[in-house]
Amino acid sequence: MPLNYASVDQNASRYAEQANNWLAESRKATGKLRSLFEEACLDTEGLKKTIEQARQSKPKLYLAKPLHEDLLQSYPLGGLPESYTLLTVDGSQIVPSRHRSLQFGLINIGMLTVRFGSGEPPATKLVTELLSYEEILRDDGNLISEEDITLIRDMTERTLIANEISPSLPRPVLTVTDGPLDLFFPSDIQGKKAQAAQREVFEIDQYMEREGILSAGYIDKPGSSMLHNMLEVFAEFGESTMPSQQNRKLSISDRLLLADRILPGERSALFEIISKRPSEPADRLRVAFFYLNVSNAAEHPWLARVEIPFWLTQHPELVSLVHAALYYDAQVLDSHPYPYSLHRAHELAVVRQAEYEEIENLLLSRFPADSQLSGYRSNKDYLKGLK
Amino acid sequence: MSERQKNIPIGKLLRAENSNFVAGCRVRELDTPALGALVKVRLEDHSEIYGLITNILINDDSLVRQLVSGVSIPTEYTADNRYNRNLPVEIHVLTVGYTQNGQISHRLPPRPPLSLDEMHLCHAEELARFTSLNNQAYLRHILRLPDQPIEEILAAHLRRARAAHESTGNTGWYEQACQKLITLLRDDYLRLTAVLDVLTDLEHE
Repeated sequence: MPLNYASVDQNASRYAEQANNWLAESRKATGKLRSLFEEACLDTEGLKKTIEQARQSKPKLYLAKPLHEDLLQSYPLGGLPESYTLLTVDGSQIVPSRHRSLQFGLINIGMLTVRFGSGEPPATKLVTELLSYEEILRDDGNLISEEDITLIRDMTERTLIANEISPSLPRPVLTVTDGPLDLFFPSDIQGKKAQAAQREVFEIDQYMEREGILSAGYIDKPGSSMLHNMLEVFAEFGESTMPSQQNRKLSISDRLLLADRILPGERSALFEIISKRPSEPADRLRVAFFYLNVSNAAEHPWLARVEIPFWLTQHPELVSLVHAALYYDAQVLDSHPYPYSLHRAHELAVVRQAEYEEIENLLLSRFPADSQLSGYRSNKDYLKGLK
Repeated sequence: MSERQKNIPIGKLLRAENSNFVAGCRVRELDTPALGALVKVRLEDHSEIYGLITNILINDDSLVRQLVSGVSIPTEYTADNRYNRNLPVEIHVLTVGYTQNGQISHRLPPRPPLSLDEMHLCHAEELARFTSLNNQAYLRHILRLPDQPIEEILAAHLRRARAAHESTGNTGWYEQACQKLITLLRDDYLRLTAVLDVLTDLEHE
């Protein structure tokens, strides 16, 4: 049955009006927030102290903290060495579903290793892991959720990156994943499992630092409001007042706040992510970030967030390398700038419906015909599949 | 060296019908097949189907189209698209005959080859053997090709076949082939003129 287009059509104009109102309200709020941002930037040290105060007193935080750079500056693009390695990883997964004939979980990781300066095609690697039956069941006996399997996938990605590092890779080596550098998970994932994963990520980062391997997480079209949150703390703990908002709280994204400040190819100042939640391990990865304008047209800024380990911020030449490597890689697909190498890792990793069904059939073939484990699909799933 | 060893594998079949088939190969394997070359596919019953390469198609996809419009592509990424990505080069082949129980026929085979059957490039000796039989009757298949640059395919094929025959000391084959073409095209003056133009070119090589 198709949609009831008449009903949608009736509400479309109202929806468009609401969205336009929201946009106007956001722009107004962004303008006011920009003034507050400029005010806060006048005393970066004071701002940092305020954030530390908030860190002590607030149970939950997710905001940006300035580092040593001038926040009102935009930082130009540097050059690239003649030879270096770019190693990108992306993954996809099959989440077990009780509606299918057989419940199984799978992760598929694609890896691309580009040795720039060699002229050789990049090395590709595909790692497919069928999760064991123990892994797809939670401690409470239920099947694992999408979030659980995402955590397993993210951990596998990071472990594979660490394992891929070898002396034969031309230095410097930059490894890039799609999404935040640290692991994020919703609160329903069992605490111990998540904490252990975060600790492991921390240990991997320490190994990478010892080896001098650079890492970055690339977030396209980021929606976070870490600067807005920072300014709220600035206003709350200082003498300034947060701009009043009309009806509801608007969350102004960093992208909107910084869009006009960063020229194509340039980056914002460096910030540290201050994330505080109950039950987080103390030895957790310290992450910094900058916004990168990957657009090549001044009138259409396109900001991506690039997360890097905190230790990298102490080496300006390495920050410049991450900045340049990602910008130039995104320019390969310049009509829709996004790092080519990440797109290829995704292309390698993605599991399509036809492949899902092939794997399911392969697994089903290992069961006797009368096995109770390999039952029928749910009637709902069967009927949804009718064409 | 056995017959099988002398023939170079140049791809696997994507799709087929009695009168033509299409094989796919990777770009790395592309230095071997060429327009007008004689190829063959061996079937499970040991019969072999012969064909002439009439077109080689380099496929694209949406990523390649994005890259084409880009300002600059690193050499490594050009190589990535050519050698790593799963975009087979399509080799289009016109069926020109088959063998059964060792007998070469220039008629169409009873059945087409199957998908994933391996296609081989025929070596010069086999090319000379196939083209010398049956008064070059296979040439009629080429002349029936719709919407194809028939003269160019003929020129490419005759050039290869003439070299193969001359290497075995048969210097008369080419003239016989030309006579055969003139006979087949005697009622199609326009096409005959175009073919004769190409043949004149070949004679000056």
